[in-house]
Amino acid sequence: MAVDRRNILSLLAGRIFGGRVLSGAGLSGGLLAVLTGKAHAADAGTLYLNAYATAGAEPSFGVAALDRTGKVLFTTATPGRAHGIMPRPGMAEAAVFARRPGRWFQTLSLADGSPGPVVRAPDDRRFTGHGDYSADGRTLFVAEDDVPREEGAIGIYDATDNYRRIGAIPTHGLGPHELILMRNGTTLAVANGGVITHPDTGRAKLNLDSMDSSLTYVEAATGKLLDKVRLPEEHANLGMRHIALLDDGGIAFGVQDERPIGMLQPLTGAYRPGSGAIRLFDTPEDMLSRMQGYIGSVASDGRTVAASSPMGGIIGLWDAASGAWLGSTALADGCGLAPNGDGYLATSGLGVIEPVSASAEAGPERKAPAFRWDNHLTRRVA
Amino acid sequence: MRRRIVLGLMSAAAAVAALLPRTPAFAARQSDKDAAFLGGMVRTHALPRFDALVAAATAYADTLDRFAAGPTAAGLEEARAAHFKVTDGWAAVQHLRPGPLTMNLRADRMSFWPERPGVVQRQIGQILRDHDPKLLEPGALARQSAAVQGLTVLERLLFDEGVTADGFTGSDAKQYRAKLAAAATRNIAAIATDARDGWKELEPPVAAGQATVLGPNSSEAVNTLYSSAITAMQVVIDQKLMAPLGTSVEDAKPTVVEALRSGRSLRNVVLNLEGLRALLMGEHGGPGFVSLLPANDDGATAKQAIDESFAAAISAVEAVPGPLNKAVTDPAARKKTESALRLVKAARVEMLGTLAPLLDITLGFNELDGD
Repeated sequence: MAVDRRNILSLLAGRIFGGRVLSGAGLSGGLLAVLTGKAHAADAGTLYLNAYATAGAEPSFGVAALDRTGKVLFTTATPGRAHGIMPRPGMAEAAVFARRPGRWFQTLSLADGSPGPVVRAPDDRRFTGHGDYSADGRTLFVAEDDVPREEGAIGIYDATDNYRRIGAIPTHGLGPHELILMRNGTTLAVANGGVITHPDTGRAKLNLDSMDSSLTYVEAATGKLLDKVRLPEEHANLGMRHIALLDDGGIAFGVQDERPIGMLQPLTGAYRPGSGAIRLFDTPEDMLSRMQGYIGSVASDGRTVAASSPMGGIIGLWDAASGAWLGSTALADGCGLAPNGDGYLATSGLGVIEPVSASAEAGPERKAPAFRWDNHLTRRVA
Repeated sequence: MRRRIVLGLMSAAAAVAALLPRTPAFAARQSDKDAAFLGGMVRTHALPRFDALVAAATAYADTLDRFAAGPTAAGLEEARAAHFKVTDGWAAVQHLRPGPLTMNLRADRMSFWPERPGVVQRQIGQILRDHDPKLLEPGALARQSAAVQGLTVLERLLFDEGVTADGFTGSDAKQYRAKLAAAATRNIAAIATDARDGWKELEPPVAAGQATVLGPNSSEAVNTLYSSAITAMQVVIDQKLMAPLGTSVEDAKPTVVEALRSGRSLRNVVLNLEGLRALLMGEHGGPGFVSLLPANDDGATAKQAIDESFAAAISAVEAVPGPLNKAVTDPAARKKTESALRLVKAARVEMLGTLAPLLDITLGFNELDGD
C-alpha cells in the first residue's frame, strides 16, 4: 500500500491508535485514549458548538451544533469567520464572536439554529473573539480592543434589550483575547495576550518587542482591577491568550510564543488567586518541540487540563492540581476542545471530531469532511 | 530551558519516529526525496538570496560610513541607491519566514512593518532629540525597540520629505542623524549576516533529513516551508495590497503601504512574488517544490499552472502605475491594482488547491494562523 504524507497525518490523527491505548510520558503516568461516543449517552440535551469554514477554495462561514457523537444537528451562517461561542445561561441561545479583528458578534437560537441580531462593534473598538455572560444571562461581556487608547477593554451588552451596548470597562492589560466569568459571578478573568494590533493593518502584530501579557481579574460591576499577574521575566515572549476555569477556582492558561528565542519554554500553566504566582506546567521536551510555541485552545474537565497544539497535531493533558504531565494524543490540526464527561471532545481543521480521555477504551473518530472546525469547541449543558 | 533547536527537536524526531507506521521502504524513499529538496533549496535558493542581502547590507554600511564622514548631495543619492539594493535583497528573502528570520525578532528588526501608528515617529524623534552617543556604539541599536532599527529608521532618516545633505552636517543634532543612519546600516548588516549564517547551519541537517527548527523530520520541514509560503502570499494579499486598497477610494489607507517614503511598495510585491515563484519552481538549477510532484500528467499540469499564475500575477503588479500609495486613490490605477490583487489571489488558490494536494501536503486550518 502506498502511504503518502496525508496518510501519515491521518495516521497520526488517531488511526494507528485505534483499538489501543496511547501511553503517556511515563508508563506510570495517566494514559490517554480515544473514547467511544456510546460511553456517554446519558446527557442527551448537551450540545457542542464550533465555528467552521466549509471545505473548498471559496469557504462559507458559520457555527455548527453537534451532539456528543459528533453528528451535526444544525448550522447557522455568520457574517464572516467566527471564533469563540458562548451559550447564554438559562436560555436556548448563544453568542458567537467574530474572529479578531472582530467587527461583530451575533446570537443564535440553540433550539433550531435560527440567527439572532448581528451586533456591530463601535467604530473605535474591535472585538477579540471571546466573551462571556453574567450568571443570570442578562448581561454579555465582550473582550475588545480600545483602538485609539491601545488598551484592552470589555464591552457590556444588555442581553434583555436586544444586546444594547450599555458601557465598557478596562481589562487593565494589553491585547485581550479570552475572558471568562469566575464562579463567584462578580469577577471577570481576562487573558491579555500583550500584543497590539490596529484595524488599518488587520492581524499584524505591532509591538512584539514590547509585548506585555498578563492575566487580570476585573470586578464586572465597576471595572476595578482586583488582581494582575504576569509570567516570569524569562518568559516575557509568551502571550497568555486562552484560559479555562478549574474546579478549585483557579485558571488554567495556554500561551503563544510571539517572539521565539530559540529555547523550549512551558506553554501551559495555572494561577490560583492568592497563591502569589503563576505555576507553569511540566511538559516533556519532545512534546514542547512539536507544539512549536503555540497552544490553540485550553479546557478543563475538573480533574485534568487539556491544551491543543494544531501545529504539532497533538493534544496534551495535565493533572489540574499538580500540573504534572499525563500524556498526549495525536490529532492533526486539532484545536477545539471542550469538557465531555470524563474527558474531552476535540475538533480539527480537517473535519475530525474525536473524544479524548485519560482513562478509556479506544474507538473510532468521526469525520465531517465538509467542515473545517475552527479554533474553539464549546459545550452547552441543557 | 534547553535550546529548542538542538536537544528539543532531536528528541522530537525520536518521538515522531516512534509514532510512524512500520513501512520503512516508503519512509526512506519519501524522506530522501524531501531531504534532497530541502538541502538543494537551501543551497540554490535561500543561501544565494541571503548572500545577496548580506552583500547589499555590507555595501550600504560602507556607503553610509563615507556619507557620514562628509555628507554631500551626491553622497545622499549614493546612500539612497544603496538603500534600494538592501530593500530589494530583503524583499527577495521575506518569504523565507520560518527558522533564522524568526529568531531574535530578526524580521521585525530588519523592517518594522506594518508600523504601530505614531510609535515609530515618536521613538525616532526622541532619539534624534536626545542624540545619545551610546546608541551609536557597536551592537547598541540592536538592543533598542524594533521600531528604531533596520529599514524602518533609515526610511525616515534618508527619505523623509525635505531631507537633503544639509540635514546631516553642521550642528551636533544633524551630525547625529548621519551617525545614526550609519549605525543602523551596520545593524542591518549584522542581522542579515546572522540570518544567512542560520541558513548555512541548517543546510547539513536538513539535507540529511535530521530534526531542525523547520521540523522534526524532512516531511514536517517540507510542510512547514510550504505553510509559510502560503502565509507569505497572505501577507502580500492582506497587508501589502488589501490594507492600503480598503473597500473603496474613500476607504483607502495610502499610508499603510510598505516602504512608503522610499516608494518601493510595488517593487517589493513583485520581488516577493518572484521569490515565491522561485521557491516553488526552483532556480539556479536547484529544486523547487515542483520537484516533489509526481512524474505524470497531473504533475506537469500543476507545474504549468503555478508557473503561469505567478507570471500573470507578477506582470499585473508590474503594470500598476506606482507609487502604490497614489495608485489606491486614483480611479484608473486603483482598477489595475485590484486586478493585480485578483491575480495574486488566483496564484494563491493554485498553491492551495492544485499544488498542495499533489505534493501530498495537507494544510491545516488552525495551524496556519495563531489566534
